[in-house]
Amino acid sequence: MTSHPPGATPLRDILVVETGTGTAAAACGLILRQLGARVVKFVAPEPDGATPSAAVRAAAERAYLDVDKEVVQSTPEGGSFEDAVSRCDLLVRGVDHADSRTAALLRAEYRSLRATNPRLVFVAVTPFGLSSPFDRWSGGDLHAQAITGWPVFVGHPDEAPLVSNYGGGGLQHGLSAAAAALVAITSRDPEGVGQLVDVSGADVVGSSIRMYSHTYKLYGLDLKRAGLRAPGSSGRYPHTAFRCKDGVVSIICRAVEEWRRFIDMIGNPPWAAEPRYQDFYAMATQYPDEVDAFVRPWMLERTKAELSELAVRFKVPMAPIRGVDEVLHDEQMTYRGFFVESTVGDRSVDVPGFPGIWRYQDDTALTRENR
Amino acid sequence: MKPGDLLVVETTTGIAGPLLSRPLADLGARVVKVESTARLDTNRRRVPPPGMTAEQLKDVINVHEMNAGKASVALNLKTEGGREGFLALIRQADVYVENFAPGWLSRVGLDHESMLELNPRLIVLAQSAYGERGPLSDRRAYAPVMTALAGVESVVGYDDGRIVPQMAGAVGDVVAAYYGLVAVLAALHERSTTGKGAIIDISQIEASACVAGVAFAEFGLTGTPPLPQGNIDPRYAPHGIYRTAGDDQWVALAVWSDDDWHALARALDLTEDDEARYAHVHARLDRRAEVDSLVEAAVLREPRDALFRRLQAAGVACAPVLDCYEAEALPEFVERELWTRMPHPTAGYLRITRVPWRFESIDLAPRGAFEGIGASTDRILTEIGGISREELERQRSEGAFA
Repeated sequence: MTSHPPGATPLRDILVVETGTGTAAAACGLILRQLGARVVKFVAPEPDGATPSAAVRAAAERAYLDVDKEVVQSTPEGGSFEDAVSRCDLLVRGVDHADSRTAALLRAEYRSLRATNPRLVFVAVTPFGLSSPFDRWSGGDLHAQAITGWPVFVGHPDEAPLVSNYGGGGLQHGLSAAAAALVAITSRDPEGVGQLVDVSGADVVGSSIRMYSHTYKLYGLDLKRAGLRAPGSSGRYPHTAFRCKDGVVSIICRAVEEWRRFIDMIGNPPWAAEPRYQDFYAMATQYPDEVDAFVRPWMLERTKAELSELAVRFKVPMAPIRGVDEVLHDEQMTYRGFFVESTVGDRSVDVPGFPGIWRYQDDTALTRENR
Repeated sequence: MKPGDLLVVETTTGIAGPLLSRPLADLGARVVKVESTARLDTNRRRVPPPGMTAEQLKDVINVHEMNAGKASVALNLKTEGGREGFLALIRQADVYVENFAPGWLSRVGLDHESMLELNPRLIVLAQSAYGERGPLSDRRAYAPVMTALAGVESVVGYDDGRIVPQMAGAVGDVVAAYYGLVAVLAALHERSTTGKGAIIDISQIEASACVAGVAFAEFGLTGTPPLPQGNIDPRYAPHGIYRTAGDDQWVALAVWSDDDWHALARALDLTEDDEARYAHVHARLDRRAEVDSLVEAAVLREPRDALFRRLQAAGVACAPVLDCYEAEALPEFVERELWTRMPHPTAGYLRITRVPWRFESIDLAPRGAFEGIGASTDRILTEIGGISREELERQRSEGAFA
């Protein structure tokens, strides 16, 4: 099954070569493929002897990230690689485990390949980028996330900070690299030359952190781990997760009106009428545990399904934390045809497609809704 | 047409919408944000902290992080004059970005299809929680709710299966912004040959689900819903975040090969027996808890920064776990200029985040502070919209520019 939005292949005339290692480069290639580019991925033979859990993770990464790509088992030194690079528009070069040689190696590769294809856009997708002084570091996605400030606000205060796992960090890095690649492609003159594009995982995550740090500075809060709660509730209550009868629900009331609807939802208990529980900011920053203690028993008596229904009825921004197995049956995503089938060996699995639907002025029959 | 030559019109609020077009503004595109005083961008109307007025909040730094380089036009789209001004801009625009609730634009007589009829080259990018059409398209959500619904948070937590969601991180906003951006750029590329615009409907919950794509595939392969795994990668051990000496100080540390293990074991002064016992990757994976205990005991003796520098010098992949303020001061980030100075009319300058790409030959930098609400209304509507001064005054008198 094709992975691109039905009726839309806006990059159908773009040839991408993907090579190297890592989920970020693979995600970059995936997104370009989802938009219609032809993506030829060169992979080295996998080493033998992986443990079962390691083999499953590797297979899962292939199942999601390599959907619909032309995967070629060969080394970059092979003739087919050189031929593909000489004709391609974009080369996505991934390095998942960088060391002090990475930047020089990739710059040399770019110079060499550009000699055979002056129009080449070479996108280097690495943990720390190609410029000094990061280029002396050894590390991967784990380390790139660690230095940005992201993990310190995820987790329990007395336990380890948490990174984005299951390739989540790589997906965000690769998505940003895909955008950068398309900027380079759309900026290229018809007869013009390509260029080197340097997209580092640390920069990508680091650039998205600052909007949170500004908010926390504004409210005089520490952006540190606070368990199920956003640190300091980010200045409004509630901004947290509650355990319920059969799982966990996430809730964020960003405005006083939403807090009032939340109180309606839980049946207007007497405590909520007290002035102490009208102060949106103080509840968030000074005594959120006290308010939690009122709310928690109510949550624990209800299931995720019951809470979902109440959230919709009372227009409260609250939803259950769903497992991926539950998400696969989502009514709206099914309607939009979001999930696509991917085949690994003799297995077929459902994975996310591109999160958008295209419509053209004269082509409305191609929308998923009309199929 | 290059991204830097575009005219972008947006009616956006929050993070996902404004962040989509910020890179275009940094590339030099003319980005016009149509706002209304009746319904401020959420970045301009947070809950005021003590000592700050609502008016001061309209110019806080996050307003600029999302909107640097954009011009502000104030239009009340519920008035006829406001809609006329808006459509005058749409007629000239290359891209229109909006993240109203589905159906809102239609209710004021401004549906996407009519915009495309008015300007067939227009690329319309609509972002909403669940998509424009469908049985749940009327659902509203904020980022932490979107990632909960998308399955992302179900795999965040500790390796005993406890879920600890990323409540403070607006992952659902950031990925929706960038999926929207790649869609716009791809549509521009297509338009360069077909001359046709498009309407693109991005679902933020679907964009969020992509972050957990590998977990979806793993479920398909195993039949068991994946659980949180902490900082573990099932292919490597040790691999995680370990506490060092000092208050809440940690390092991220990974061993990717048997050679890496020997380098780590020697740098941490482990015994020869321990080094040999876990010399092979299978031994380390089979007895991950034992390996982690050894590493934890060793790194706990040394302060974070000294340990990190020493392990890096020994060729071990190690990094300090920094908070966001330490990250901003990290010399490596400073030298890479992830943050830069940008002039601001009253503050002198602001320190603002750069778009995280380095091009060999494309100019990419913040183009200036975001304006106050409606600061460019007259100028933009006359210059781009072609509306006469007399007409502007008439529309103003009818409340169109509020």
